[in-house]
Amino acid sequence: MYEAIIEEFIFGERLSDKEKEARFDIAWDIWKSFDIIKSDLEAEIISSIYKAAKESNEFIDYVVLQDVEQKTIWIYKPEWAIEVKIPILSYAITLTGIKHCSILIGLRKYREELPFTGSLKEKKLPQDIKTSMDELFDSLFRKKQYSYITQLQHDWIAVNEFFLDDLFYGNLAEKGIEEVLEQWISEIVDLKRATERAVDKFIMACIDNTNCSW
Amino acid sequence: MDKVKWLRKFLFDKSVSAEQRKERVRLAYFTWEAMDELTFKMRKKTINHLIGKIKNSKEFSDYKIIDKGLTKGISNRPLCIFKEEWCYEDGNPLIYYALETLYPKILSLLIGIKKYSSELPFEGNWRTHFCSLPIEVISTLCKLYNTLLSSNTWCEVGETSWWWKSEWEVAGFGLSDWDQWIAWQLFHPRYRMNFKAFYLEIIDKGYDLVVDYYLTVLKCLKKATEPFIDQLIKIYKQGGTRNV
Repeated sequence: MYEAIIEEFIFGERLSDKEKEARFDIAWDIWKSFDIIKSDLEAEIISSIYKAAKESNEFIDYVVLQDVEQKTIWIYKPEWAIEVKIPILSYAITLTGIKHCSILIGLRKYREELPFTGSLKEKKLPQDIKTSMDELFDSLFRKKQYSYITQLQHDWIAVNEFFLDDLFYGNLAEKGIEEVLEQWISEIVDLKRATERAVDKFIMACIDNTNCSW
Repeated sequence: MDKVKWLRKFLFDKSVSAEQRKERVRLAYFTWEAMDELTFKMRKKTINHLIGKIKNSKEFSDYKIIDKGLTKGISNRPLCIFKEEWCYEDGNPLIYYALETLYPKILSLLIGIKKYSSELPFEGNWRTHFCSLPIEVISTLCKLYNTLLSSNTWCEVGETSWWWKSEWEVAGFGLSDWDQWIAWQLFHPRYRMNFKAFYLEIIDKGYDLVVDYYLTVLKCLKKATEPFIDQLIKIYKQGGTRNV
């Protein structure tokens, strides 16, 4: 709908070629400049979430890492790691997409092959891991917004997607970055509260079965 | 102040109401989204216009045209223009006049002569396989290049053109994809102007005038090289282009 309005604004039949050129010129500058502003804001969003998570009392016993290249923040307990800085599972916040971006918040495998390759649902697992996984999913399903477990990316156990659309950027201008990001901080805090115990159990079961063939 | 800084200040200006800021940002977002589509439409329309003109031109009336379509992204849009008698048994041309969008995102064009496969009617590009080509093929290619390079295409195109005045390039790369090109000319908006000016040119002069230029180049190419392509095909069909 807006594309048609903007097309009419630039190329309206009643406009002279000079007017069309002038309007195209303005739209071009907005297009190119907004692209840069958008990228800057996306970087700001990730670093602000990282800062907020790092300073939050909620994650005082957690490791909070920022992967600038992957635009991802990892939040996990040190005991969830099998080696230093390599957790089996982690809470994650990831900025994804090239043109239209979204924020993915959820529970994610730090490495796709850990603790096993493939999706949790598809994999035949030892009984105690399966039980702890069922408990984990129960805790996720209790939270309505985590009603879908992604099948597309096997490294995500559960994910909730928030689109960075016109309304998002509009809210950002209206309320400021802090207020808008509060929603996502509380999202990750809620997720943590709902699943922490289940993740603990799941990790323990995984570690107990390290030497077994799955 | 640069444009980005100015726009950011304007969009997030605390001296206006929060509601106004929201509306400004949403409008900028919609413009950003729409311009991507609009410029794509303009590029597509440019190519469609050109194809329409080629199809309707009397110079190419006895030619067949294969158009593989333009898709958004980085894929090329090859246009094959050839005579029926230039075809191989499978119905594809051995050699054809080619028009390709090299980077459709910015609409740079390659116009030239291309082989349908890198093996036929002779293998590889003529420079790297020079020694192994039959003398008749080398002699025809030399005549083709000579005529092309001395055809003074650019005087015929005229001085009003905003494109870079350059020469025809002849096959010389070792890359397999380039082995298929026998001669080409690259038209890139960056040579003479920024990309915005390319679109402004379309608004100012219209699609017709902008694409007329490419059509003239194609006609000049045809005029200079058609007999030699006929000759290369004839040699091939007589079994004389196989590498020795």
